[in-house]
Amino acid sequence: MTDKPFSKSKQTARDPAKQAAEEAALAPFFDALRPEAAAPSEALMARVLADAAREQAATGADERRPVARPATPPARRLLGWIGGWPVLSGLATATLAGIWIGVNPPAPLAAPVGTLTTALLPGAGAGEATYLVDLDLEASFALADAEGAMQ
Amino acid sequence: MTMAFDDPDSAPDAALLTLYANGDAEAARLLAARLLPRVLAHAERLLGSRAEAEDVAQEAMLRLWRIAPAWRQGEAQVSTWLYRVTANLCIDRLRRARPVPLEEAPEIADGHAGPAARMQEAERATALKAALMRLPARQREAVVLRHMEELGNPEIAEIMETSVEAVESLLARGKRALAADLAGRRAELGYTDDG
Repeated sequence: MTDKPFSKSKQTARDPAKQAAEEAALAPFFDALRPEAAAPSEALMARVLADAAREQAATGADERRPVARPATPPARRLLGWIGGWPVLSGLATATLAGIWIGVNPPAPLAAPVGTLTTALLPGAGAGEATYLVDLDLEASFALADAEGAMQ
Repeated sequence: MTMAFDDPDSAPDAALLTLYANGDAEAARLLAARLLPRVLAHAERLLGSRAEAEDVAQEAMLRLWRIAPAWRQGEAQVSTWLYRVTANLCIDRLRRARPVPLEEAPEIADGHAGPAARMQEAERATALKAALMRLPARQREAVVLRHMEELGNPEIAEIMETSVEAVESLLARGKRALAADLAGRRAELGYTDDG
């Protein structure tokens, strides 16, 4: 309701005395109807409580139910055990490097022997693979002496 | 699980609802005993049919059980929420149903027929019930909440999701229509012109 006279509608701008008369006229009807509300039947109450129990059980089951996880493939499980892709790629790199070194050893590994044998085998150039069997007997002894002196 | 309150009957509805959500079966029984009669009465007054009101009351209570885990304390009164759900369910049913002619207006469920005065009271209740059913749904809801459930206008406004001014307007129009509708039956039902 508002006090502004222009905003009063035909519906709400009403004579208070007339409103009071309406209230008085309706009061006995309301009084007659109000106590009528009957209590819920036992059957209805039972249905409502059954709903409550079912919903409560469902909610509880949801909370207790473990989260279903999809089956993990064996390969993915193995990957998980070893630490995932970064670790696997590191392992692969190390494996390949090991194979490569085995097949084709890099020059630095042969360098100490090469350095010595270059001196003992005048025909052998630096970086050229040289093996002990290439030496003659005396050179072998000289090499053994040289190694003993280095230690 | 046991109730957390010394006197469960005095526990607020919202507290009982939380207990229910936490698995307390006794809380459901207390809430149903407290709220179901009000829901049922409200639905019956809005629908004019006991059988339909029972269906609506069960559905409204089911929605209450389902919302219990998500109920946020302090946001709204459980009863206010439940009245709103009940009214919405009733309005949905009324929209689907055909209008009920006066001759088919529901009878009062009264097993105490006998004294003339009691019969007259029952007839008045029947007349009002039929007149209520001829009101527009929103006016009927406002009148029932105010004069049957005896709620205050602010709570009615909250239930109907409207302003207090709109509730006052609905009540004024509803009562004027009811008074006009019942005017012809007042003498028949034992009332004099002065009330």
